[in-house]
Amino acid sequence: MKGLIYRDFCLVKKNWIPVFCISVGAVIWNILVQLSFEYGNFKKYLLDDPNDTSGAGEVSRVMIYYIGLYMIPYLALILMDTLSVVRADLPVKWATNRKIFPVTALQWTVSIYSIKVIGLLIAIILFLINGSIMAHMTGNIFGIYEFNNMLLFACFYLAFDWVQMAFMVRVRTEKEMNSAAASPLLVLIPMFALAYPKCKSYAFKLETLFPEDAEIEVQERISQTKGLLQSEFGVYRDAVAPYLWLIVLALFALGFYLTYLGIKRREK
Amino acid sequence: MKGLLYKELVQNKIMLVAVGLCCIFSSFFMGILPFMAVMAEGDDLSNDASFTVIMMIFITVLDYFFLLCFQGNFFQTDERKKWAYFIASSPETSVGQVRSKYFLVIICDMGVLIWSYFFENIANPIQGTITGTTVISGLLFFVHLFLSAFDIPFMIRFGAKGGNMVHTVMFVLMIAVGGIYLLFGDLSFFDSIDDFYDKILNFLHGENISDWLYFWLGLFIWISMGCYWLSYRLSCKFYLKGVEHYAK
Amino acid sequence: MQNKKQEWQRVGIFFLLSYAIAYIPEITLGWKMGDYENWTDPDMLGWFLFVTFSPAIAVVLTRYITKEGWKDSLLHINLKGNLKYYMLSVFFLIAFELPRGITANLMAGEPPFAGFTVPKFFGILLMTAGMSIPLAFINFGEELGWRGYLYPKLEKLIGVPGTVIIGGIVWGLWHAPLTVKGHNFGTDYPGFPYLGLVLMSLFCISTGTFLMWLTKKTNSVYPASIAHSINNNSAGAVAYSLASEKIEEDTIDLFQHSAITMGYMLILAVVFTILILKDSKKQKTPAES
Repeated sequence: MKGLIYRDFCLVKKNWIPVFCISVGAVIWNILVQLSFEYGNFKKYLLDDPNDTSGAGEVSRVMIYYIGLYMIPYLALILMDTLSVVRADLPVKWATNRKIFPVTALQWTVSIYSIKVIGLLIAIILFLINGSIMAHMTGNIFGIYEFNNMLLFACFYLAFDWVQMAFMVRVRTEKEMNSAAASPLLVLIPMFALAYPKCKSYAFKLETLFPEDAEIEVQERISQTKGLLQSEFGVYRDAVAPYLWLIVLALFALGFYLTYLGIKRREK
Repeated sequence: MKGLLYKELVQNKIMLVAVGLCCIFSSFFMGILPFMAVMAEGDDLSNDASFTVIMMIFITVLDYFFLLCFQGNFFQTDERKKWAYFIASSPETSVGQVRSKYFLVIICDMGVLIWSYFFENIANPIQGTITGTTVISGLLFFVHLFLSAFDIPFMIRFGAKGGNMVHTVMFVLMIAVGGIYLLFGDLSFFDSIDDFYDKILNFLHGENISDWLYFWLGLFIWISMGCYWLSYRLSCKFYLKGVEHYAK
Repeated sequence: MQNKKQEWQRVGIFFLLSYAIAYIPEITLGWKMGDYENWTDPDMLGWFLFVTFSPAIAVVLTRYITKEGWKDSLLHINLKGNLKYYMLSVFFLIAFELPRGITANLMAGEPPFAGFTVPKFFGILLMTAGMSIPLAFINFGEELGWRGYLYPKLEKLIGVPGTVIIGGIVWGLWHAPLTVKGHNFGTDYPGFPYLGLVLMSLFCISTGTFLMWLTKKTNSVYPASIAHSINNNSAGAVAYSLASEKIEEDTIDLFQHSAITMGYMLILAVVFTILILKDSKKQKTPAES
């Protein structure tokens, strides 16, 4: 079992090292940006700008805080991707010869999913470190609301992932590999189709809220947009928020079960 | 060496044509078409020299960027163990092979510089401003040489993929250093946009340039030439070690 | 005899083409644009490109018309064993023209090295010399014509001293429309424009000899292109970086200054003519024996 997990680690190493470096780099970058708001050019040109009466500097600081916060899970969740394991196994025909090893289908599945779980844990740790430091520097809140948003990202990734895993365990050739890599579209397209009418109505309401010639303060714009986002999308988010951990576990379990079934069927 | 250089040009002709087409099309689409469209509407952009200069500088940087991106393919075409051992056993030896690669890079660099010069002479009459961006192109020639000096030994030692990784790391480092400077450095240069454009135009026309700027730029030019030669010597030593990394 | 006649024909065709391709736009634009100050209009750029490459265009057309081919084209780099000549092409003219800066100071009653500061002198030297190397392609257009075609042909027909003088005069008079408009020495000197043309020809004779020597030593036009680029962009700038800051650029009387330094420049012509003749003798003596 240990050997299998070690093998999978060696195969994902090439993908993990750059992703991990980029994620850590992004954390450092966020900290530098906030330091610039404290002591650097952002403080000089945005916060202390005498021509700025509407508080646009403060607003930009808050916006940059949130962008920096949610950039990390977006980048780091790529660590959960195990496509590189399957790609590396193809030339040596590992999948074809899997059944001759004294390893059960359950053990194979656990070794693949252990990588995903470790990837998710690393993403969460980086997110927590980044969020805590930035919140401390900016005085913004970093609590369960932000953490739940991060879990929403994870849910989206896992939704694509269980479809992809179902295809990936059946892969024998490079061609099948490519269709496995494109399989998340099966989830993405219906998702977009469902979200499209909602997004269209949101855009229409935003246009009505802010007519072209209207002179509205930046703070007012931000708060009205936030209110509209909450009323259009936030209600759904709030509804699933208490159950996000369960949804993440359920998606993991679904993917695990489909992968196990796929490997078991291959062995026959 | 002449034979090897001829082989390089023939072998990589598709890549060379690709780089050439990228440079030509990007230059025309960004450097001439907008101005012709403005002129067709009866307007005149010759008063807006700042836009023209920034656009021409951007086009020049983009041309060298295309070359840097395609450069790895010049080394990938010869990543064959059979070829490597054959050329090492020939009178040319691996030194000749490496030398032909380095010459190819210089020829492509010169090609982009010559294109920049010709394009400036074609575009400036249409744009209505003498931009003087050949100076920038000349400096970027040496910047490209300097970056290639770090890039090429890695490509020879670890294969084109290894070299491309070095590319990426170099770009990221440059962007990071630039970003940190923007966050904390002295930005008084950009305080007044009009002064900023005037300073760029003065630099391009060789007016009001500080002596120390001349000195450091001049030193950089000769250092980049020295680095390129040192890189060539290093690559000659690495060539046969790098052959072990080739897949075929 | 037939060969000599054919060579003279080729020289004649090249001469006519290079002058026509350069003169026609220059004279037309000169008449249209007026004084040389107006020649910095953006519309002039495209034409200058044409004029700069007119000797190269003339060579291509001449070789095509006379069906000469490109066997003796001197287009190979020939770096092996010639690195020292490439280095000379970069640094020799800079060093040789340094006294021009010193004489500018002396003419203004200043100490000889009045304007020397480390960042200024070395900055201009490093920057202009370095940049002149890749930008030598601009002067390649001229060198392919003069040192790559005309000078070798004239040498076969009228010998080295004749080539040096006639080649220099041809090259100098090729600049005539620009000299007449004030590009080289301005317009405010006695005997304008005729003395200016004479001075330009003398200058081309002296520099042309060095370029000819470089071409013969390396069997390539590229060192001459680099040296020409250095001469145009770097040598003067480095020399005048020694000039005192009290001397304004526009108070230096270019004509007077060039005339005074011409004697010194002609030493270049004499020395390198002797060197070329010596090399020719060395090459002939083994063949004769």
